[in-house]
Amino acid sequence: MYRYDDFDQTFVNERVEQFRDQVARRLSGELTEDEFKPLRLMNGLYLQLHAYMLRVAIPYGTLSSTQLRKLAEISRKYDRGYGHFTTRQNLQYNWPALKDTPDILAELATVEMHALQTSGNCIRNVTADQYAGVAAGEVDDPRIYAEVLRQWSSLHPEFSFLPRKFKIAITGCANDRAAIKVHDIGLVVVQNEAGETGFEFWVGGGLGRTPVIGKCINPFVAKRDLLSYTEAVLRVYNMLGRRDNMYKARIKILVNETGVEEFTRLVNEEWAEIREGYLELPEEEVQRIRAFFAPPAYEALEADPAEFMQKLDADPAFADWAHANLAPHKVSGYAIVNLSLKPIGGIPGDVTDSQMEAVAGLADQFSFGEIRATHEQNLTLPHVRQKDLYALWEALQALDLATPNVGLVSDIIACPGLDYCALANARSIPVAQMISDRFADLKRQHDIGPLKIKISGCINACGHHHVGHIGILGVDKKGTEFYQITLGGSAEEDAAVGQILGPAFGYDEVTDAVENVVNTYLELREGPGETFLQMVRRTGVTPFKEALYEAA
Amino acid sequence: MAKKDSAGPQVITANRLDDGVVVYFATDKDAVQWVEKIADASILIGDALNAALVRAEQTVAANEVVDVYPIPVDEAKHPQSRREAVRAAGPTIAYGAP
Ligand code: HEM
Ligand code: SF4
Repeated sequence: MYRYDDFDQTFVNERVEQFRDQVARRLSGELTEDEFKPLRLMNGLYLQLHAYMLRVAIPYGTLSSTQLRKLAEISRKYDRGYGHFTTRQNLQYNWPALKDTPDILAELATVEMHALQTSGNCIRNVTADQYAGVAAGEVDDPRIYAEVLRQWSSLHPEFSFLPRKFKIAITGCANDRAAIKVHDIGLVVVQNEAGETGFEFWVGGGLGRTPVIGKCINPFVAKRDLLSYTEAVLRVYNMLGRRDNMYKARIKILVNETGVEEFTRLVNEEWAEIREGYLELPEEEVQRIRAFFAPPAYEALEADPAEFMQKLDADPAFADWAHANLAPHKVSGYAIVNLSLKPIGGIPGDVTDSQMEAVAGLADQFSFGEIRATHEQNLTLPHVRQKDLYALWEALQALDLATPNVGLVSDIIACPGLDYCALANARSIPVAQMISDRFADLKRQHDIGPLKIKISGCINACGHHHVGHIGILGVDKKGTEFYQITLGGSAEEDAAVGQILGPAFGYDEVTDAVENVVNTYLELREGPGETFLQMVRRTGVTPFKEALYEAA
Repeated sequence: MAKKDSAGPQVITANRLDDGVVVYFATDKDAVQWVEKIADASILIGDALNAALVRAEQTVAANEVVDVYPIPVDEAKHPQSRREAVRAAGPTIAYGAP
């Protein structure tokens, strides 16, 4: 884990005390709301539909058990005993009081956490593959570079007032679990023919009202050039990005309006000026940061030990869970374990204080005290011995965190929607719950296979609906909730924006519509080997449309 | 800022500054006050609404609340917009520990 040095700790502590002072001045009236709002947003504090909302950063999704315990404690002491994990690897508290937020931030600082850069037109919390450092086939640990970027971007004087927010995601694997192509900058750690490590640069991806898949503007930027090249991209954006129209201010619009070639030329021109300067990333610095992410003390273990294999044979429920929720670890005898925060009929991404505490305990017992948050609103224990899996599974079942549905139809992403969000048109959470209940039968879910449903309550697309295999967008029609369905989106390496199926469905119809789409797939697929997404790509949306609208 | 959405009956709402809680304006008490339940709010119309808005805005200056605005309601004080209905009643889902 990365550990704060004195500079980091002092910086975060000072920011807490500044905010304490600002809150006091707001409460006494010395600051007006107009003066205070930008200050609270810089500290991750929003005013939402019902109350304030605090967004806590989990840099690159990595948490220690100590940090998770603190998050649990805060939720109990200052909130209503739960938190919500988001698609950007943040944790949101939905009910903090303004007067308590300085204390909350001070408590976070004691475990090296904060809520900086979780709001506003700055470079936001950098997100990463949740399997960073443990995925089989990874080129290098993306968190090293995410941390380099975090240090460079924190309070970067040039980039605190960008035309709009700026989101960076990074993966070290060809298999993209960090949705890098729908970020302002998406990075893939790669190796060139000479065996040197560098980055593929994908720029101008984004969701919101104009969904765009990023474009690769450079297939190999050497490691030492990571910061100078990123800075060149940001400079071009900062100079030319539109500030006159909020809806056209993201870098994706600039890249589209300028054209990829011209944009790339401008970046290269800027880069030529700064490339040899102080932004060069020294190898010693990479090594210094790498040391923080050194692998834990793994034991030498045989793969697939007998006690694990026997349990797989003997207990079908365990086998179902293992099938859906485990991923291969790069070290023999270990597994990556996904904890589903999507119990059937539950609220995607919500966890209670006691669940958080229990997970922290299990992380200590089974995973070297480490936990990851995923952009799909689940948690991951990254280093579990295969021979411990059965015991872990039993413990997770008792906590309702062992639903064997990761990557399946009930593993739904949903934004807070109208239940919490001031910008929403429609509710998202209860739609996710209805669909999850409809597909409660796990045998059916496993038969359907990989299927990602993503739901947003408005066009801002916080729930990633554009890139759902099935995407659901809440809209408002004359005061009534309606839901538009898209098919064929993907947030992975084969990223694509889904296609709209047809007229929207009412709140009471949308679950039937989704089931109809799934049944069409089951009927027309070329066999269980053809996934939902593969079929949509083969047939297009027409058969789905026919089944859905012509039956009616 | 305060804005009028319709000419029909309205209640005035805001968020309390120090804890963010949704509140509604009651004018029928002795003193001006913000209450947490919409059922305890005053239904206002026309000149009475305008006068109450002025008083409500004064409590912004006094650092009691932020974001004051009127919302159209029916006679049972049910907000006409779904957004305000959710805001008045809380999330439509059961949340937190079971
Ligand atoms: C409840 C308070 C929230 C507010 C007010 C809010 C607001 C917004 C807005 C205005 C945008 C569009 C930005 C743009 O296109 O320039 C956006 C995008 C986004 N938000 Fe949220 N959001 C909220 C909660 C969340 C949550 C809970 C998540 C995670 C589940 C989230 C993740 C995202 C993502 C991933 C995007 C799309 C990124 C992109 O536009 O490229 N937001 N949000
Ligand atoms: S997508 Fe819309 S409704 Fe959902 S959280 Fe984002 S802004 Fe709110």
